[in-house]
Amino acid sequence: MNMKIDPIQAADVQKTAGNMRTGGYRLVVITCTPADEGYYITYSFEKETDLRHYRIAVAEGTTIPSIGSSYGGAFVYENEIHDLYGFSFEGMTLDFGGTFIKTSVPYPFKKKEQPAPTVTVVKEEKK
Amino acid sequence: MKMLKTILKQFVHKPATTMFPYEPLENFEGTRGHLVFDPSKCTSCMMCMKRCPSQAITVQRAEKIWTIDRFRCVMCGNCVDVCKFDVLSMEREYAKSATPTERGVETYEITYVKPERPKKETAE
Amino acid sequence: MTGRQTVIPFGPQHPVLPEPIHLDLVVEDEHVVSAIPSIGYVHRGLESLVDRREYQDFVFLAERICGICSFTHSSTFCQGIEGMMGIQVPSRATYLRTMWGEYSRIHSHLLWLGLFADSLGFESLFYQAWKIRESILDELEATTGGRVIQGVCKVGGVRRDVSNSFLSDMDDRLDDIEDEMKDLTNVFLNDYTLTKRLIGKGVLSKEDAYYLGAAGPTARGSGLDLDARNTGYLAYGDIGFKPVVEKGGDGYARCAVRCKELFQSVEIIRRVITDMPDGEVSVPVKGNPDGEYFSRSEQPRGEVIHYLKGNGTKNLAQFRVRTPTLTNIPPLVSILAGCELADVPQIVLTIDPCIGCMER
Repeated sequence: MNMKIDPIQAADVQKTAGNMRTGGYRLVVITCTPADEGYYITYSFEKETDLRHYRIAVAEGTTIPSIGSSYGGAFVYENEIHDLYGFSFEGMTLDFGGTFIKTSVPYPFKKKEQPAPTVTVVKEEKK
Repeated sequence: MKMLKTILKQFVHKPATTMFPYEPLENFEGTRGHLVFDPSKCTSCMMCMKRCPSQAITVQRAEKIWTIDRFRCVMCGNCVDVCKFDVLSMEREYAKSATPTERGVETYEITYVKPERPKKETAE
Repeated sequence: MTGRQTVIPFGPQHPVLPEPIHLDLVVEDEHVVSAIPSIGYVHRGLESLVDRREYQDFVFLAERICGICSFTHSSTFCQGIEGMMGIQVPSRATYLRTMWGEYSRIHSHLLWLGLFADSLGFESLFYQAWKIRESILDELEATTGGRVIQGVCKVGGVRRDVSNSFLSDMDDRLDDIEDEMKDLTNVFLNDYTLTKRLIGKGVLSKEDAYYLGAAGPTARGSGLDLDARNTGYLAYGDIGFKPVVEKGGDGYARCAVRCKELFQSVEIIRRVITDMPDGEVSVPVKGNPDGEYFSRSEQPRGEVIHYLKGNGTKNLAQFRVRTPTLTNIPPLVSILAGCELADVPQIVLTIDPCIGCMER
């Protein structure tokens, strides 16, 4: 498993995606993970056992250009990251406006001040 | 025409399902059916309570009570692997149903008595 | 000529769908112009439980993400943790995991064949397909202890062993299963009514399939050679593997790919049984995971990716799953544009939607 990850700038995302598209790579997944400062968004591309990852470091709530012009199928991942983490992407092919995954708590995967307790205690039901 | 063979076989073949209440249900050895607890060997170490993925087991060390919520147990067998004293085991029959008022919670009293160590003789 | 456009909602309750998904079909006089998907009906938030369970217990949660593809989820998760911590799994354990993975693929394709026949109205064919599936589930229960959720993978290997005499008996039983499967797939590929409903409907071109992100039989039915087993994980590197590819791009090609993969899986199981090495089946695991890892494998529906991140404690920091149904949604939207309204349920079924997996 090739774990080499190349860091790039947030403004170069569309140019990198265009290069991958002309090179014949397909989009595998877009992942978002919390880091020490802000979040990392990783784009993975693959062509016949050559797997590459490109990573951008963003702060909370920034707007990122979408790669929907090169890869039409990216709207699924971008809408999901918007609904779970709170980033907005500009220029998506199909924009759901926050209703792709409906949760009762808005932006549930954002970094919280208090982490969740390790063992949830089940309350006794009183008759 | 090839389907004709399948259609004609249906008339002479015995049914594909077991006639359940009249014939017994058979499963295999090693099927994870339900969990069995032996109260005479449990030392209340509480490892099964910490490692159960669905939090079905509660152990109260002071009152010496071990309870399991049968509706939460998914028969994964993690507690059987983790217990160091051979207290828990898996039996073959599928778990029985329970009525809604009991909520499937079963309570056992732990009857383990720690054996006394013989007093060491002091060396002269 | 433009007619008046109406919007017809499809789902979440529909007799054809095993799980709820919603599509808004924009329709103009019986031709579908475009489709807009809407998901989120079974979102359980399983990924956020990762900071409340230890990493060795999380295998049991990972395999309950989906009921049909459950074995491959647990095996991919264990593969990810073993890659992150640098654990070398004994080769008997990898061969056993390959065998159970292929059984899981056979039972999933037989389930799909039954559902597809039922959606067209062939109820007896549905029962015939599931009757064969029962004998496969019996094999799984005898070797692992569970019919649907196997619970047999753990970090460092597998939890129980299968004796060699049992394996050679299993080889004889596979002959009977293979004969019954031949009769069944003959009906799907050659019957007049079924072929009329499949050929030429729901065409996906090769270009579109590659750049929109199709995976699994959806991509292999359009002429693409995409299969995660080509990378040679588990025992596929030793056995040698070539994926089944069809060129039609329509519903018939996808159905033919699944029918032929049934027989390919039986061949792989026979190779695994003949070549099974001896030895132990698990190694002890010490320490905690640290770092990040992308773990890929081939589910019955396509390529699945698990992303794991550890921070040196007993609980993982993050766990993310990208299932093949999520990446098959853009090709579905592009297939539905231009088809007839009466063909929509069959076309949605040919991409094999597993919505429980998609929305964990």
